Amino acid sequence: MRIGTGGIAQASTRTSGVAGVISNLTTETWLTVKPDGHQAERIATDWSWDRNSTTLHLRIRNDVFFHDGTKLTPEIAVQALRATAANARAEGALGFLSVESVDVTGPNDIDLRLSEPNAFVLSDLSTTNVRKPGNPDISTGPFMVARRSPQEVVLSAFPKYYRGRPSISEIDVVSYPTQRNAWAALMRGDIDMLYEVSRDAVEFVSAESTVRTYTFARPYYIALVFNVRHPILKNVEVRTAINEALDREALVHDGLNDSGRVADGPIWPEHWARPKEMPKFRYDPDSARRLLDEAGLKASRNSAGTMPSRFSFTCIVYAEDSRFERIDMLAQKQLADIGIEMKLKPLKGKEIAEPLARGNFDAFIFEFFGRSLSFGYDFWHHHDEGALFDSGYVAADSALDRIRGARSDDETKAAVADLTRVLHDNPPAAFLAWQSTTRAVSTRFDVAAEPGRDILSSVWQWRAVAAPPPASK
Amino acid sequence: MRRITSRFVLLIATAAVLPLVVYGAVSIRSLVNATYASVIEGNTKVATQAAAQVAMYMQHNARVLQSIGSELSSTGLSSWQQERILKDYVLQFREFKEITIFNSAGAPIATSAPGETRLKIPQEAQRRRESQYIAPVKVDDDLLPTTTVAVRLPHSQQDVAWVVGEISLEALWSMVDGIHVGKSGYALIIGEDHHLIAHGNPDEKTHIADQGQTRAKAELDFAAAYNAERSWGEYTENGRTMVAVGAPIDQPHWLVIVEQPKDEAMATTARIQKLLLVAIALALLGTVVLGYLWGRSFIQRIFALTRVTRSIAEGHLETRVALTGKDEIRELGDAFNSMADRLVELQENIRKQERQVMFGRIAAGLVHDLSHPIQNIGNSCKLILKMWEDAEYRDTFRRMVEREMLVVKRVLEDLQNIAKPIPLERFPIELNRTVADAVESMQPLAETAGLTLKAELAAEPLYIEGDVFALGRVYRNLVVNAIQATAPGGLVVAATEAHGDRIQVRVYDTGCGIPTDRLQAVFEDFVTTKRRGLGLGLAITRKIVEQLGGRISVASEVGKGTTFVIEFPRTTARPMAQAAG
Repeated sequence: MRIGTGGIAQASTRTSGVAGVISNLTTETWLTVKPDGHQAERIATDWSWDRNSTTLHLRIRNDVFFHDGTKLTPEIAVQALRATAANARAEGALGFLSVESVDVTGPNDIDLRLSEPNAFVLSDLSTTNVRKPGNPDISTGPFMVARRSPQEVVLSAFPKYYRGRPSISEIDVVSYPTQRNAWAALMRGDIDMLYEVSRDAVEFVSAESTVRTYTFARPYYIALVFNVRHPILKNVEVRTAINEALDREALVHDGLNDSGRVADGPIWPEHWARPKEMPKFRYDPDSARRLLDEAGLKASRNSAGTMPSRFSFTCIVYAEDSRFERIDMLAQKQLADIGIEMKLKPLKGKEIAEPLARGNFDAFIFEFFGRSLSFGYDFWHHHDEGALFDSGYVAADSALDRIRGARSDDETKAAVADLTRVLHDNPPAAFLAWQSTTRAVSTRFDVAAEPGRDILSSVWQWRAVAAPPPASK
Repeated sequence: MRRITSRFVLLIATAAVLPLVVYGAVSIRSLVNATYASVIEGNTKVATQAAAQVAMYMQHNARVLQSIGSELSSTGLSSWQQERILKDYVLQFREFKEITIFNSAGAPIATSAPGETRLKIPQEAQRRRESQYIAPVKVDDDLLPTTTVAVRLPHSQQDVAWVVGEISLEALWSMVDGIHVGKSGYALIIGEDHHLIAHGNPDEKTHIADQGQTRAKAELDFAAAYNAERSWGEYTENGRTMVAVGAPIDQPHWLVIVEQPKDEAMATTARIQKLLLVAIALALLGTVVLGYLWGRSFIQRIFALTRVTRSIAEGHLETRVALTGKDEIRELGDAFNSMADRLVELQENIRKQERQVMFGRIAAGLVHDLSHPIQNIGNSCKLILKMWEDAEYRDTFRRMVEREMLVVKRVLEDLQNIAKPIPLERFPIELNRTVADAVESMQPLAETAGLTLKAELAAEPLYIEGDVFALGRVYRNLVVNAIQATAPGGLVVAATEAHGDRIQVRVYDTGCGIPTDRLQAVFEDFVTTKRRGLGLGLAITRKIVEQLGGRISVASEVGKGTTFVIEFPRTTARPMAQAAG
């Protein structure tokens, strides 16, 4: 099978799709996350906290092998987990900063001892890939890297994969310069799967009789993030007014071509801890104008050639992902309607990281991963170092700390309810929309698709059917 | 006879179906031509309408740009206002991905793009000096067809000289996708640069993304050869012959093609054609069946006449033919029946005559066979009156009367034996002995006739199951016949001989012989080769032989003699006395 990825670089990771595909197919996490945000077994089959919630007992499978044939023993698992703890920031596993020690406690048992209760350790176990200590290229996923070249990576089925040998023996992951090239390759039969179909082209690709499309809700939300150090944006009323001035329904409809849903915060809509009654911003431009008026921000003529506005700020947007362009423009227009001039400043991937990390921005529009609460902590809690961006926002720190230290579901729910209230009352951003993604697969494959899940996670279960002929170079 | 039926069928079929076939062929030909013309005409209308819609759509986009130019020129708007207007347009009209206005020097004045504009004034647009230019269509990163439209504003509007828009032709694709002709007929658009721009068939869209467009070669070749005189044509695509018509668009210089599989376009005609062929086939079959049945009913009466003729020929003179109808064949049947009636009469007459002849022959035979002994007895009776006293004569008289009465009795027995089975008593007997006895008893007769009678017997005893008296009758009949047929000095021999499990008795003479034409009738009743007599001797002989399980045959040559051969099965049983001794 050949999987093609187009030129779209992911805004959140600033990497092409190839890395995502390879990671998905070759690596495994200790745990996995169900659509409702709960953890589910994967390499770890059981987990429990001690009474103080400072020791996490893990029981791991005894039939897992690394791609080099080494069996994953508790001793090796401990080494891997210690390595993660040692590189917690680099690996984005901030929960592991609380891990003090990892030890083998039984034939298949491991204890992680924490310096303080930290619920995000479980989340991190769901996102941290299991890699062989000393050789991070070796993992335990259903496929293993056979060879690499600049244009493609060839994966082969891992015969000792603990959930069963994949039916597909070899996968070529091919990178194309543009989405169009990848799509054309799919249509020509050169590839069997298109990693991501542009939302504007879903209708046309779906009409192809030799291709089947699979759309699922991506756990990524788009948000307009404010720098609360900005002299005007620091005002809660202003940020509230901006939130009320944005017509999210229109953004989803016109900006995302209905390929998504309205976002009301960073909590995944299906998450178990999400309050039933979420505080939401209603689209109310009049109220927004009133708030701005009350804040003393009256419309005024500025220098010649500039828009007369209540105030102006610059919004950094990601220049290399055209998916956001219409959203950017729509948001700009909607804010202009209440007299706010939002200047768009497109920056490329290499240019964007530095000003965000330094807090050198007024606002920016970006997409954020939101499947687990730990990512909410990563993004919306103030960090002294290692943060993706520094907006100066600290209002949610207390609620987020409570979520991190929650010892029960009830504590988590209560903390999440507080968080949503804080994010509404003192918004660090305007949460705009959750996105959907479509993948296209040749009908030559019988795809094991689970509703709501990315089909990439089940590639090891796919089977080739008779026709049409396989893709070839 | 059956060939007549076949000829009838062929005649009727040819007469009835040939015109039908000719009519059908002409009709089908006309239908095919008319349908094809209709398909071309109908699809051309579709293509023309589609071309008009596409032209209107593209002109609409150009007009939007034109109006943007008018709106932004010489109005003193600030650049932010111009950008705002451009962005509003882009947001309002989804097909516009970006709009940028340029001054006469080609520098951008304002753009809808979030940052710097990606657009430039196409060089081709500047070279052509036309008011608007539509660049070749390309597929963008969103997989949608995109083109750049450049509108040149009048010279008076110096501040805004060009409005350039990048337009996503998604609506154009949707428009083309909405055009269906039949089930598999689609529209497609070929660009000025002979590249496929849009294809209504979802499975063919791949050709657009295919850089070389090698797989759309048939359509592109058609577009290249398109002209007003030859606005339609055929080509093969994926093994199907496609009927294609074209309709040009003036601005941009595109060509709308509507293609439809020929088999689908002509499906109705094909169905009618099939129905017509089925109708003709059924008519042909019906005519053949009808002709066959008609011919058969006609010829059937001739067959009936033939059967009756054969029946009569086999002797069933009572058979008559019953024919229906009132035609000549019926008259022939009636005449045949009259002829059969007449034949019966004639046969009856012949029988009467035969009976009379037979009666005459029997009477003559009886007169011959009985008159001599009766006459002898009568003469002796007269003498006995005179010689009554002579005791020797009386004894002679008695012997003569007994002898002649024996003759009379034998004649009467022959008559009786012809009418019913001869009572026989079969015992194991030795054949040589019976033959020898018979020859010995017949020696006086042979001597009287002046010829030699002798027996040639097998050396071994020959046993059969037989009746001594009946066999004696057989030998006597054969020997008497031989003596009577042999001239004085001749030879009559009775011989015996064994042949495996069968025993043979041959009686042959050197007599006059029997003509070949009468040879087979010698064993029949009342048939004789002699001038007188009943002719029952050989008939009774055969009857006795067959009743004893044997068979008799005869061979003769006129002038040389006759041989009668009797065969009996040999038996292992022995005569009672011999068995006892």
